[in-house]
Amino acid sequence: MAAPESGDGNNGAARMVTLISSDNTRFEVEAAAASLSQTLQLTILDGGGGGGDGIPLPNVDSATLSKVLEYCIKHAPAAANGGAPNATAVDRAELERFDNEFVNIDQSVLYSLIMAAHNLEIEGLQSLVAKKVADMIKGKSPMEIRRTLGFPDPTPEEQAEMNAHMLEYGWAYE
Amino acid sequence: MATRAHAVVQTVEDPATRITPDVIEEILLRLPIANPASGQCLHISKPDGILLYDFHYLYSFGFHPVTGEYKILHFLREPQHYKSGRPFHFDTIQVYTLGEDKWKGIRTPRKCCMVNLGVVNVDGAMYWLTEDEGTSCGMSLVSFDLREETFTSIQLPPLTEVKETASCAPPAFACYIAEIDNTVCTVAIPYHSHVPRWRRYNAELCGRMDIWSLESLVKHKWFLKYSIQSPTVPRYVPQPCFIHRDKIILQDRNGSAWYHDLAGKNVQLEQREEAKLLDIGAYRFYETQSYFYKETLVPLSKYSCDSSASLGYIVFTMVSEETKPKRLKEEECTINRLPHDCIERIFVGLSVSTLLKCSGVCKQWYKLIRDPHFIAGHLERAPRCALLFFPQESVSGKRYPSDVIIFDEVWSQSTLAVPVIGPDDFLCGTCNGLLCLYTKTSKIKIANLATGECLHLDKPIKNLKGDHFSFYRFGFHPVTKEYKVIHFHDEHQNYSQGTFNVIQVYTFGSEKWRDVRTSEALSLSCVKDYGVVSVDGAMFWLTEDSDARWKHAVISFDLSEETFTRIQLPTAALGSSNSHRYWISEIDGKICIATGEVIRHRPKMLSGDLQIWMLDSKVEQKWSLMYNLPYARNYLPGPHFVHSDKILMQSRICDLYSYELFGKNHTTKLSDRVKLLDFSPRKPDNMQCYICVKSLVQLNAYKKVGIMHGMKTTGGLGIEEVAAMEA
Repeated sequence: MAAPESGDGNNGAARMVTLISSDNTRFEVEAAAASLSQTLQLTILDGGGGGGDGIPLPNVDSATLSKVLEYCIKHAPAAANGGAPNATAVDRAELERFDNEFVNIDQSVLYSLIMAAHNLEIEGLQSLVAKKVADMIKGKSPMEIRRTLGFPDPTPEEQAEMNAHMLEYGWAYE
Repeated sequence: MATRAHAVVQTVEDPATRITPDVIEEILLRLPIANPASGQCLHISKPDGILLYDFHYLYSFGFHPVTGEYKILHFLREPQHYKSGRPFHFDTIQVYTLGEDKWKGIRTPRKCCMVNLGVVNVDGAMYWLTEDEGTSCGMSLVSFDLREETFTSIQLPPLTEVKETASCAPPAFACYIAEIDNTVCTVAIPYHSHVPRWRRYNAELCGRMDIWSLESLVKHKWFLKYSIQSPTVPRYVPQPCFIHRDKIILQDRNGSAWYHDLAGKNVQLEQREEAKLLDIGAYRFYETQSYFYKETLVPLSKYSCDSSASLGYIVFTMVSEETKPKRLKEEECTINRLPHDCIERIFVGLSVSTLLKCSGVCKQWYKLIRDPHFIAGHLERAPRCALLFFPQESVSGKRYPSDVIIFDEVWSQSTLAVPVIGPDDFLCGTCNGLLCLYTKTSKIKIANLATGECLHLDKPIKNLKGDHFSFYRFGFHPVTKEYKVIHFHDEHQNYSQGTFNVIQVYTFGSEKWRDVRTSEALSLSCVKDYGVVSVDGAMFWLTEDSDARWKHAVISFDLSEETFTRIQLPTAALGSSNSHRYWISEIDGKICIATGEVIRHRPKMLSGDLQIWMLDSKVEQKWSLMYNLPYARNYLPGPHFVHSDKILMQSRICDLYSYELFGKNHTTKLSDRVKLLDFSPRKPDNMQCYICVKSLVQLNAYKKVGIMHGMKTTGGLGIEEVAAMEA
């Protein structure tokens, strides 16, 4: 494999890459942060995304991409330390606080974020957003889950199915 | 990777390859390689001198995961062998490696042809079917290794059975190649005799379609993966990847594609259960192809320096399984528009009780939560709990029923959410969230402790005199995925002798107990006193020599092969006195032996140090000393006393403690004693401790053989029960 021939390489300033959202907004970001995405990592290792080229991300709009990059930038230093054995408890608490606030968002934004994390294969973000939805589900009855997650009102047929489910698994509803 | 692949149905007349005058030269001489996600496209020059006989089906494309090389194959067809309706013959393959800028000819070892025009790429090799006169069905499989560039011929499975057993009994069948779950499969479909045997069209389903999967590339071992009964309406399967994530893609003659769930190995396709995938439109349904596809950013630019390759951009139009199907109103809900994988990721971290509630939210969630793949993934991640079992007993004239207490991974205490254990039941073992319970009747009960689902099976013996719960054990083989109940049995039912010479085996899904004879009489009292554990598809228990009772050894019984192995104990672990005792246990998925001196009339109560040895290698019979624990006047409850670096012991009175195991070396300190429970007035000797998980593992697949019922089902049969009865 050919070594990446990026001139700005390792001396001094961190290497930057450009990502282009579906609505054609360009985001310049450190290669280390963008590399949290498994999908982008290969391209970046290959030397892509530098200079005027940019990496097109036809599945991610600019609002979502800026949110994703906010996460990547925050998490990149810890990820570079390889799970951060020398991270202080303060750092970890700070990341946790950031994560909690980060997912405190509107449901539609959350779903776009899930899609983006999935497409870009950002492991940490995927777990974080999945856990957020899981927390929204925990401790609720099926009807409450439907309401929380914005399902439409059940049709009579669905209502009958839900009643049958209740008969069988009512003990699990507590 | 394959599990994340999305299905793409691409019609032959893809807009990208539609011919216009401007590009006609391009189309004739160049072959595009494209990344639809990024739009990048690389045009490769076709090999020289092929124009007259150039057809799309003569090319295929593959990748080798180790070398990381992409290769294009061109089958150099011999024009003199061309005959309509016959497979094309070739003796040369031309290979183009991306980045190498040339086509290279490779001779096949003998004249080859391609049957039904399918080539699949699995694990760095290309596979296709060829004519082979010497074999039973006149065909064999050829593999071409993309790294070594060598050919191998692979015998096909016994496809001829199809001929004999197909209900409509046509004299011939069509054979296709397919890729399912990253394995090579051959598909045998009976068909009407007026259709030519060799054809490059998708098969019309007829009778039973058998799909065989190539399990071992080395041993060329096939197994029957699906046996699918065709629907009554005409349906076609698009080659070569028509099964995606347990769904089969079907096409009708009107240009619509459908999909159908494949729940289990034997499937009957019914028209009313089909879900519409999309309308393809007026394309030739018999030429549609279906592939796995994953959106990636794999760059093509690095290959563009080749003189024969030029880079450009094109726009693809594709339909993805996830965005296109229009179904119920429910799917307009945002969360259900997320890819399957994402919803699975949300669910996989949830507890069984939460998931049971989720399964009542909508049909889609119900299906996902009952999907065997999901259940297996969830089981893998389920935290391991400690389960304490108290058998029914009477203390000072008062009767106490059998009972269970569970400590979860953070040691918080709970009881069973659903009462699966009867007051007189005894626990014989746990496995993947299932309990095997010995009842006083003629039945053995299997119950999922988290969902409450139960299955009853007949005991193997009619005369229950002398039978004991400890003679029954329960195990699972991770490769065959079979659950087995075993029963230690003496042919003459002379249990007072304290030996057995037969193991009776009941495999879930079969309908009977089978006898497996031991080579010699083995100690039954050891089984009864020291217990049995199941690890990694084998059952392990202790035995002793009849002439030298202190000479203990471990016997293992492989649940797949059903063979016995004798494993010597480390010499240092062998005690010499009568008051030496053994426990057999499992720690972190490995077999362990605990030994120590015990008090003469209290056989579970330690009177000295406790050593715990771990079996490092079953083949080499190699043990290592894992813990050497200082003397503590404690009971050691069997069989699973170590739970995630804590050991459970109970004091003389009925207090149960956990001790942190400090370091895995020769002298281990016991530190941080935490009192878990005071279980008085229960007797101190009877409590058993198991590892358990809470899983969604279903028993309904085995219901043919046992009597099924859910714990709280009052409203009659569920949909699935009715469907099973009709079938």
